[in-house]
Formats: sequence, C-alpha cells, structure tokens
Amino acid sequence: MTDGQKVLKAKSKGKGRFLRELKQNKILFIMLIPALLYFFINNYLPIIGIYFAFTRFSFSGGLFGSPFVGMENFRFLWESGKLSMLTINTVGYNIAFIFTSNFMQILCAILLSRIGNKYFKKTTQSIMFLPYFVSYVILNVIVYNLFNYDVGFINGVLRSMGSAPFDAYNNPGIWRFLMVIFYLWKQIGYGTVIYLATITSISPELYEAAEIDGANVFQQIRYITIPLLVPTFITLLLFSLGGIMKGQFDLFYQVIGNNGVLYDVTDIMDTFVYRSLKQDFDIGMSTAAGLYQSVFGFIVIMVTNTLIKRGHPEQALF
Amino acid sequence: MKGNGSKIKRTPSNIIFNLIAYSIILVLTVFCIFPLVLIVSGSFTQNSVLIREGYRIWPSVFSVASYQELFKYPAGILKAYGSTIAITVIGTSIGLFVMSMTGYVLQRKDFFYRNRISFIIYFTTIFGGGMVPWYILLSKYLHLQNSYVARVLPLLMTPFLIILMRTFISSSCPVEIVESAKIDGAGDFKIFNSIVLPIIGPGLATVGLFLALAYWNEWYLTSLFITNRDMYSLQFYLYDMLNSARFAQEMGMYVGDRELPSESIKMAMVVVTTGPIIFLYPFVQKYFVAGIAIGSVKG
Amino acid sequence: MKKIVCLLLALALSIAVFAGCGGNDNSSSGNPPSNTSGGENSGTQVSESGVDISSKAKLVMWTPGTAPRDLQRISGKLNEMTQRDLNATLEWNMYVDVQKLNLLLTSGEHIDVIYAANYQNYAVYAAKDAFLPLDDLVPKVSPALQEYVSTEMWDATRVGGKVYMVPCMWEEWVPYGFLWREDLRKKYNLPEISDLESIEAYMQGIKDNEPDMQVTGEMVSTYGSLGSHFTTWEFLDRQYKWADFRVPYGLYIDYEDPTKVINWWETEEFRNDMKMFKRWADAGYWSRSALANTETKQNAFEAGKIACDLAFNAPSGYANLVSRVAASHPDWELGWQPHYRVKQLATPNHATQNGMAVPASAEYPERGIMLLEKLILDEEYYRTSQYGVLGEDYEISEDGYYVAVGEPSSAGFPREAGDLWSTRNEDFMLYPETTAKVLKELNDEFRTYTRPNIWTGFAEDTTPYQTEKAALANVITQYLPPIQAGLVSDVDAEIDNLLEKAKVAGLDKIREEYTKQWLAYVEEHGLAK
Repeated sequence: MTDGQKVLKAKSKGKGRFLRELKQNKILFIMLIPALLYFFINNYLPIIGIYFAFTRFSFSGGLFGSPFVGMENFRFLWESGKLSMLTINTVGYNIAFIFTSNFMQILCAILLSRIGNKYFKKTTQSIMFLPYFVSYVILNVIVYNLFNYDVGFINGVLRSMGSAPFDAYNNPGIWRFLMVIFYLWKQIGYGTVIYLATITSISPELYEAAEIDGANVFQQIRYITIPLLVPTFITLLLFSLGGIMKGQFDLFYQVIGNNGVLYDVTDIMDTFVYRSLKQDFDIGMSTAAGLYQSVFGFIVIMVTNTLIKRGHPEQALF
Repeated sequence: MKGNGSKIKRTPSNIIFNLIAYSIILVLTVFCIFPLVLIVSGSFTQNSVLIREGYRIWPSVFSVASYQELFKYPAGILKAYGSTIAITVIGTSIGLFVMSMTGYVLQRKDFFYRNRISFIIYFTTIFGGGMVPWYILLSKYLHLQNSYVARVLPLLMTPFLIILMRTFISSSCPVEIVESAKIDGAGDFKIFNSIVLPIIGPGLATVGLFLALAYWNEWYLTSLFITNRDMYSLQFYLYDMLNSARFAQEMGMYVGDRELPSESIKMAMVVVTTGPIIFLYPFVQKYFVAGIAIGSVKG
Repeated sequence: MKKIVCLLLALALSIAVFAGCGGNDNSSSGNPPSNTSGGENSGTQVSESGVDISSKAKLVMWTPGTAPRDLQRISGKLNEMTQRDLNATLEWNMYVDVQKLNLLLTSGEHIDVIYAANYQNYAVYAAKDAFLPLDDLVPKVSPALQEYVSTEMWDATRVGGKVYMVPCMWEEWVPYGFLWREDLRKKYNLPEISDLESIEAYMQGIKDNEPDMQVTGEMVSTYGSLGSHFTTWEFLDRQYKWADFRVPYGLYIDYEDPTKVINWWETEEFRNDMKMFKRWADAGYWSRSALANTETKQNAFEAGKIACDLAFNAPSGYANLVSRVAASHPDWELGWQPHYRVKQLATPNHATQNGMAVPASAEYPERGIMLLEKLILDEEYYRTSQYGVLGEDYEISEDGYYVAVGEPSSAGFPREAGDLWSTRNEDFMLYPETTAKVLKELNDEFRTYTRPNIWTGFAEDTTPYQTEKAALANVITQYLPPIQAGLVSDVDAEIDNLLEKAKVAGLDKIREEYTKQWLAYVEEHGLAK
C-alpha cells in the first residue's frame, strides 16, 4: 500500500470520518432528524419493555421492581408440546402467503399494464382493491355463510344439484388451501399496486427498442419487465421475512376462532399465545413469546440478507 | 418518432396474450367481488330473513330498514367521517413529506452512513418491546389519551414505506441531475424540494395511497387511546358496533336490556364506511395505469 | 462519539423514568392533600366524615361493556353532581374486553374506581397488588358504606386476608335455564317441559315439524374460568348438585360435602353425558358447523331461527326477552325452566360477582370511595347513573315502574346501559313492568330453596402453575368443545385423547395444587359439614 492509500484508509475510519461526513453533508443529516427522532420515541424507547419477558410481573413493582425469573416465562411455549407444530404452521403459512401473493400480484400487474382497454383496466383494478377494506371480522361472517353445513351458500348449491352437502368446518384437510385463498383475496389488489407503480416507471423506450428488434409480448415481459421487478420483489420479501414467525393474527383469529377441530392445521404462534394468556393475561409470558418470534425472524433475515448481498448487492436492505 | 398511444400490432402472440390477460383478470375480479356482493345484498335484506336464510346474491326480502336505522342518528357517523378524513389528509401529507425526505437521503450513494441508518430503521420491524411498554409510553408519559395525535403519530412513518420510497427515488432519479444541481450551487434540501419531489410522481402516489389507507382503516389506535365518542375513527365506529354482541358474550354479560345490532345493520355499516373510498380510488388510479412513465429521463 | 454519549444519556434518562413508574404510584396514593391554611377555601371543603376535599380532584371510573351512545351526556350530569358535592370532576369510560382491562391495570394509568369480578380475574389481580386494600380506607372515608355492606359480604371478598373490592349487596340469582317456544310446543302437541325426556321430545318434535328452523344454536363460549367450552355444558347444571358448573380442570366438587373433589373427566357419568350430546348432535339438534358459529343465540332466537336454547341465562334476561317478543312477535309464547328449579338448589350471586375496586394507580382513592358511596346510597346519583335523566331517558309510571322514553332501539341510554351492576341497590331500583312481575315471581321461588354460594368466592392462586395453566388452556380449547358438542366420531377415544394431552400439559399438577388450595379455603371458611 502506498503512503497515500494508507492515509486514505486511516481517514475512512473513526471520528475523523464522522465529523468530515457531518460537515460535508450537514443538510442530509438534518433531513434525517425527523425520522430518527420518530423511531427513537415510537420504537426504541419501548424496547426496554423486553425486560418484561424475564420478570414475574407485580403491579406494585412495575417494570424494574418485579422479581427476575430468568427463562421461566418461556416454559409454556415448549411445555405445551406444540412448539414445533406452531413453528411449522406459522412459517409454512407465511411462506405460502408470501410466494403466492407476490406471484399473483406480479402476474396481475404485468397483465394489467399491458391491457389496452382503459375502462376494463380501471374498473377491474378498483374492484380487486376493494377486499383490502373489508376487515377479517366481516370476512368471517361471509365465510361462515358460504361454508356452513345447513344454510351455507355452497351447500345450498350442492343440494340443489343433487349432491351431498360438504362439511367444511369438520374437515381440516382443505383449510390450508382456504387460508391461503382468503389471504390472497384480501391482499391481491394492494400488492398489485406496488408492482404496477414499478412497471410504470420503466422507460417505454426499452419496450420500443425490443419491439423493433422483433420481440413479442411474452418475450418483452420475460426479458424486460420481470428482471426490472426483481428489486421490488426482493424488498418486499425481506420485509415479509422479518415477520416470518409472526402471523396474520386477524385472519386466523377471526376465521378459525374457537373451532378446535381445525387447530392442528391452522394454529399459528400468535393465536396460540393469545389463547394461552387470555384468561390470566401475563405480560411476562406474552413478551417472552414475542421475543421468541423476534429472535427467530432476526436470524432468518440476517441469513437472507447475506445471501442476497451476493447476488444483488444493491437490493440488500443493509 | 412514435407518438402517444401507438397502435398495438395484431400479431398472433398479442392476440394470445390478450386472451390470457383478459380472462385471468376477469376471473380474479369476480373472485374479489363475490363476497362484496353478498355484503351489499345482505345490507338490503330484512334482518330476520338474513339470519334465517343466510346470504344471497340478491336480497330475498328487500328492505332499507338497516340504512334508516343507521342514519337515524347520523351525528356519530358524520363525526367519525369528519375526523377520519381530516386525520387522513393531515397524516398523509406530513408522513409522505418526511418519508420521501428520508428516502431521498438514504438513497444518496455518497452518504456514508446510509446503510447503517437503513438498518436502524428496518430493525424496528423485527424487534419490539411489545404493545404494553409502547402503550405505557404513549398514554402515561406523553399523555396522548383522547388526543388526535395518538391517531396520527403511530402510523406516520413505517420502515416499509421509507425503504419503498428509497427504491423509487433511486430508480427514477438519476445521479446526473443531482450532480448538475450541486454544481449550480443548490443545497441538498433545495435539490430535494424542487428537483426530486416533482419527478417521483408514481412513487409519491403509491406511498401516499398506502399511508392514506392505513389512516383510513385505522381502528386499533382508537380502541386503545380514544374514549371520547366524538373522536372515534370511522372503522372503530363500525368495529364497536360489530363486536358489541361478541364482547358481551365473552364477558358473560347478560345482554338482556340492550338491543344488539342486527346482522343487516352490520352489513350496512360496512357499506357506509367503505363506500366513499370506492369513489375516490379511480382518481388516484391514473398514476399507475398511464402507459407513459411520468418524468422518465428523455434524451 | 458525541452522538453515542447523547444517545446513552437519553437512554439512561428514559430508564430512570420507567423505573420510577411502578414504585411511585403507591407512595402518592392514600395521602390526602395537606390542609391549606388561609381563607381562600370556603367552609364546605371538608366532607361529613372529615375528609379534606378542598383541592380539586379528577376522578376516573371504568365499567365493562360497549358504551351507549349517550354515555358522555350522562357522565356529564354526574360530573355536575360530583363537582358540587365532592369537588371533583368525573370521567366515566367503558372497556370492551378483558384484554383492555389487563392493559389498563398493567399500564398503571390513572384510574380511581374500576369494576372487579371473579370472572374477570379479581382474585388474581388482588393477589398481585393491582388493587388497594380497603379495610382501613372505607371505614375512614365512608362509614355509611362500611355499614351498608354486611360483614359476611366483606369477608367473602377477602384475598390473602384483605378486602379489595366493594361488593354488590343486591341479592340476585342468575341461573341458566332451558328456553323454549311454548306456542310451538302446543302447536305440535308435544309434552309439557319437565324432565329430560320431555326436552328431548320437544327437540325431536321441532326437528320433525319445522324443517326451516334449527332446533338450537349452541356454540362455543369462552366465558369464565372454564375457558373455552361448548354451551351444552351449561345445560348439565340442572342435573348435578355440584358446587358450581364452572369448576375448572375437569373437577367435580360436591355441594353437600365440599371436601369431596372428584376427577370428573375420568368418570362414567361424564362419558355418558358426552354420549348424550353426541346423540343429539347426530340427530341434528345443532349445526354440524356449530363450532365455527359466532352468531349469538339471542339474535337467532328472536329472529325465529332457533326453537330453543339449552342454557339461556338469567331471569332478568328472560323478562326482557318476554317484553321484547311481545312487541315483535305477539303470537309467540315463551317458556323458561331455570336449572335451579330442576335440582331444587339455588345459590345467589357471590359477593365477588360484581364489585368495584380501587386500583393501585388511583390518584384520589378517598374521593373514589366517596363516589361509590354516592352511587350506591344516594338516590339522585343512583337514578342518574343507572337510568339517565328523568323525562329524557325514562319516566316513572304511577305504579312505580320504569318506563323507557322513546324507541328502545334508538335509546341513547337504555336502562342500566352503563353496566353499573356493582352499585345496584334494591331501595332505589326501578323495574319495567313485565320484568318486575317475572323477576319477583322467580326470585320468590328461588328464595324458598336458596342456600349459600360456596364456590364462586374461592380465589385461586395460579402462580404455582401459571405455565401449566397456559399450556392446558390450549389443550382444552382444542379438544374439549368438540367432545361437548358431540361432533366427534368416537366419544370414548376422544375423551381418552383429551386426558392424555391434558396430562402432558400438567393437568395432574394443577389439580393437586388447586385441590390443596380449595381444601384450605373450605377449612378457613368452615364450609365442611
């Protein structure tokens, strides 16, 4: 290394670097202040609460006055014998949700962007967006009215066609697919928007040039559109993976509710913890469960981000 | 030189593509709208019939009683509408501005700390202290009970949207523009304000839409912090009504003295809270559906 | 470097702030503001019992339930009264589920008076010091209230020897019972409802003759200590003279001899009962999708969807149903057979069924007690808090009955809409006419065979088995309701499965500990015969 390089290298570390950066990009730092302040107050301060996971909460002691109990609060997670089932369910559903929804959203975005008829485009896209507004509470009402054995819509149709009615709620097998379908129903419009916006910012000159070269629609999609959508997909993926041990609590809690017959197939971490602690809400145990979910997600993310850094370095989150 | 709306050639591959595209989208649209049709039809069905026979595509006994019931005391709904619209507009404007600003800084390749700060922001999505410490902070120490700030602050910035914005800006704002502006002597903020903001239309629209939706759909914050009925968010108003029966039952309370909201009224409430957005959405849509990118760099 | 130091400082500051939160609250409570000398305050700044009320207080009260539309208006009226009498403003809020209650207490926010009940974890909170002990506070601040509640009732609320709530003195019986459509029974010539056979005959009769109706709308309920159970379980209360149907963990405590504790899930009787429910399920008396049903039985009954309810709760609920049905379906006739009548054993509500407690986070506990005294013992406060404003919300008929003003469906503050069950007082109570007649009849009947409530006041200390309990809760939720609903193919196999899984989760340890605590309770309260 030459002397000059050595100097540069030394300069790139430590206080010197920071102060220089500060002077050079003062305004950029100032522009970051609102966000940093916001996250400090809204997110980092409450992190102190993680300590709850290690105490037995007493109302008179508060956070730091309650006795320390080590890993005691985590016991209920593995003593139930359900931890592996829950992990598989939670992770499994999340992966299924992530990949099916992204696939469908990308598909829709591509198709919509290429459709000629303006009215068709606008209308269908608006309609596909609507389910996002319907809360899972309502979805449950609809689902129950579709699937229930006696007066359900589906069974009504089946009966009128002469075939036997279908007892959906006592049949765990189909519910894995159903949950994915419900999730898809709710999210498809929402995610399509993100991909559509990305497609919109692709320069049309690229397509024009490809067309001149003789590429047809399918080829254009394959070689231009999809590769340019990959960065967005990776961003979305990384965000979803952080929550891989957390679930769509609302979806599962509302649609499955108290129907124990389906639990082995549809129970996830969040609903399990919720039910365990419903009667004797214990903040120690619920925080412990949350901590488990966070740590798990953290490990998954670190691994994924490292992998992505090798392939698409710009797309890595950090 | 090609102008706008160049003709799409009728090649075989195009025809096949259109066939596939239109049919898939059509199927999905029906899939999405089917439950919604049931909801609307339910809201126009006489309640006892609805309970006995379930939901149909078309009401078997038509009745507008639920809507009449809902609007007998419109004050509640109107106030909820008012406050929700105001908060959505204010929250979205502030949040959008700050998040774009943050996203801009984070995509500046000459900013040494951008990766570390991105990580700091992103980290909050993985780890958290849990709901209780956050609730204690906001209600006990910041005294945000029954304050509109409680409905705005927690949703103002999300890591997801900030990173999304970062991606948008970096892909639609080339380095040359920034550099030439700097040479001209413009400060970073000025560059952001006058040059970057105008050209990230689709990005602003997308992030703005998501943020606005988060504010519009919000009910959880209201359930935690707001007890003043006049300050209820629209979705909470609905949620409160929908769940009164379930809560009463779960708490083992006799619901003898009070009338429980009927099935039909619940559906009418859904229609009333969701309706206006449906009319608003087509106006925002044009940013995504336009075939030509706004602000792409020409020549 | 500077940045890091600043960050650390801020962090340290916030930790200090948090650390302060739990401890400080106890020290500030219970101290009356010091007597301000000087003539600024007029002479009426000391209450009758000598409590200094010269400084303005801000009282916060919470009750359970969804707030009625005009809660703020009524709260405002009360506010005027408290400012006049107690020099305090009043804020009255309602919390909508047990999660919110947990949050309110855990976060330690300013609450002076809050609803407390055994089915809302009263004993657990009391044991964890969430509430202030009232042994000294009440006699000092309100001798009238101390006097009004009987010694037995005070004693019945003791947890760890101390009193933590002001119980409700209004004697109430709230059995479940079989509800049916008398007009349909007569129409199809079905036998009079008396024993199990007649009920089965009724249900079968409906099934045969009314194809568009469902016989019952039984569903999963999560109320109370049992956690998740199917509502058919509540039907069994008519058959057994047990201490209570809500005894958890599959235990049976005999009423006549409370030291007798049986592992109920292992017995033949339990299996037979479950097989009976399976028979009923197979006969189609409730939906095969019943486990997923979230529609309340009350709504379904009133809409004419179901013809009976195996476990309809409470005389007052029945009375209200009768009057509502008289308006909406005048051709209907209703019948209700309370479980108490069948087993000739009635137990009134325990003291801890409805009460008001003062949280540890209260800022004005003395003023809070004074407020309770007013709400219970002062007619003006009572009538306003329970019924609203005379003339606007209700009228009183010549015979002294409660008459609602306007349509019930659009009432801004229906009768007892604030869910202030804890402060009910027979002297000031107003009943609607039909309710009064039905209730009086039923209550008189219950009074003839009423006996003390021995179980509901038992304060279970879950700390020794908290973890196991959480694990067991999940086992129960998953496996028990399907058995109770008879929606399983092999009852015996399923019960065996339930027991196996429950034991893995720690059932034996829980039962052992629970029985130990129960027997100690029996000893302490002299309940053994």
